[in-house]
Amino acid sequence: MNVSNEHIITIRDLWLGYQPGKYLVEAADVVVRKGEMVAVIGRNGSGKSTLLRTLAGIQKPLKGSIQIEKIPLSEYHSRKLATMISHVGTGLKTPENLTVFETVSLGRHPYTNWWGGLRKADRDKITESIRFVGMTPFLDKHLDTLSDGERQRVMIAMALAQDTKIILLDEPTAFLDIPNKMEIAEVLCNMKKSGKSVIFSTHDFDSAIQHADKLWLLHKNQILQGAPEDLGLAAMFDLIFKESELTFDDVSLRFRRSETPDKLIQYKEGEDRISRWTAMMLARTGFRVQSTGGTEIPKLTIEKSEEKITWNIQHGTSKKKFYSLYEVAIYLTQNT
Amino acid sequence: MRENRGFIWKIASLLLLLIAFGILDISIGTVQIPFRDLVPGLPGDSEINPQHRLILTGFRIPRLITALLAGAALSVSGLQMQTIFRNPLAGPYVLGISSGASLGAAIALLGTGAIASGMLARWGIVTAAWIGAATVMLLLLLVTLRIRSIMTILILGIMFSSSLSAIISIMQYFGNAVALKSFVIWSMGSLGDVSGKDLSLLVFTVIPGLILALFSVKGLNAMMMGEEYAGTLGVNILFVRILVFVSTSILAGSVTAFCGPIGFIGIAVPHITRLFIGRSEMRYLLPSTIVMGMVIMVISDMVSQLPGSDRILPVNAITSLIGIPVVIWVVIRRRKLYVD
Repeated sequence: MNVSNEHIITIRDLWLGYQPGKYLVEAADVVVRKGEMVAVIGRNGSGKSTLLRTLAGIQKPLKGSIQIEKIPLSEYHSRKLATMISHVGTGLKTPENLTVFETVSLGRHPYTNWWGGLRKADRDKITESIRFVGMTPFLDKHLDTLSDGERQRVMIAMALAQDTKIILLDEPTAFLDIPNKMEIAEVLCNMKKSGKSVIFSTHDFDSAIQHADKLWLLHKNQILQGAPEDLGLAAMFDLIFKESELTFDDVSLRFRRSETPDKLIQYKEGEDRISRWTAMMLARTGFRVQSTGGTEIPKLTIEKSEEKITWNIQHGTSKKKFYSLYEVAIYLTQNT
Repeated sequence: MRENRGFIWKIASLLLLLIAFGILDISIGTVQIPFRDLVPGLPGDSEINPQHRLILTGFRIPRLITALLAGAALSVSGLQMQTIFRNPLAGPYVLGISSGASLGAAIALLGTGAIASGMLARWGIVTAAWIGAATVMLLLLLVTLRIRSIMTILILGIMFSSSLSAIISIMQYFGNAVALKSFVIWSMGSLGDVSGKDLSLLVFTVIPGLILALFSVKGLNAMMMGEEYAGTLGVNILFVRILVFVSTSILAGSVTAFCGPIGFIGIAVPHITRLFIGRSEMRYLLPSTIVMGMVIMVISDMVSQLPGSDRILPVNAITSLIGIPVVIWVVIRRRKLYVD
């Protein structure tokens, strides 16, 4: 489904925080369109979780208005709100002896009777949600036997089973390895395709930039809103890590330390894999590369034969051979 | 759905066990009653020995019913406390319900100084114990309305309970010897003193308490992932807490008032049940806990009667001896107790 023009969440003049006078977010004016995927980024303590928790109705804003489908959040009955918005926080417990199916079935809570009994429609929705996150083979497995990535997917299935138009996820990819991160990102994209409005917070710039329709960048108590590319063009990413001397590299789409390397090395950069990884190592150990120079500047060359790669360093009168970049790095940091 | 079939088998075998131990429990004692006298309508001798009939209806059947009610009530309130406090060592008495009842009994027995005899004294103790438990419950509800953190409520409950015990110690110190002995005997717990009107009162308090507990099942399930998540599912946390506290107070309070404090059933039975059925879903766990609580209480009762002898041990000692190894096992198996 495409992103529609209609707003599902409208935030006007929103002030967040834990006590008046000390605000985490000040006078925010942002919107979410139907079917949009929004990534919330910002440093630790910038108010990402607070923002999501406020949208979920867990805590109240200090000032301002949040409207869900044009009705103020505060006017929703908690049970009705539970059918509109689901929230997967970071503080979820993992009870013992609870199976994946039973866990996901908690999401049906707003729809079941006083006893919590499941009807066929509920069971279908639960199995569908579990299939959506690819956990069908684990249906009867106990929650405490799963890996972090699997458990995270179960939590997302819980939100899906709740059958809400808006899904809020607080750091769904925290503590996950790269393949797991990619899989979760794929699940989020599929959720967006099925018409859900997804808002997730993350520290993972890569996936935010690649997948989100819109970023909310929390910086100095403001929410900067825009397409990832707009914020990139306006050099907004540099803003958030400025104090820690990081700059965002537009080419590699990565942050790197902004201090300029002070040590020099002679090295001819190439385009092949060996050259690229070698250049990475030199950048990491703080070397600036230049193509020529006198004998007082160490000179690094690469020799490649069928079976092995050899790095040669000529420094003054000494000549050394190395067979791994690790050894090269050690030598360079000790001898320059 | 294969899991469901397994569950039905387990529950069925537990019920069979309950029936078997129930029959055994009323047949043994100082007078052995033969099996054909226990089940009316069995072919063979049609006449039940009148003496046996008197023993059964006057003593053993009320005692069995008391054991069943006490087992169910204490286990369910323990399960509710463990779930709502997310603490495996919580039990029906963590909130001070039992201390409240004990203080009531202590005031009736030690404080008044006067020792009324017979039925009046018994009603006095039961009523006082009941009022004590109910007062603690009301105080607790007031605290619940004002304090959000469930862990703070737990700590307050424990502190409250300890201070009541301290007051009881002082009263014991100044009480006279006869009253002190009555109080000590009350505090050892007994299933055998409940009959007639007492018993119907116990039935009419424990059954509503259990029904209230059934209504807390859905909310407690949602709270397993934490209260915040339950809130986003539309659960009214305060309502569930009040439901659970009221139900627990009624269950643990009445059993304590009538039978005295019976230890460790409330802590141990939920763990034994979890181990047996292997599930935490409250819709399965709570009914199973009721049956398991009954079974274990009936077994404790049988052991306390020392089959083959004419002596009876205090039931509180037996439940402790059964319960303590379970609690030790829980602590050792999972050194990380999920208090946070």
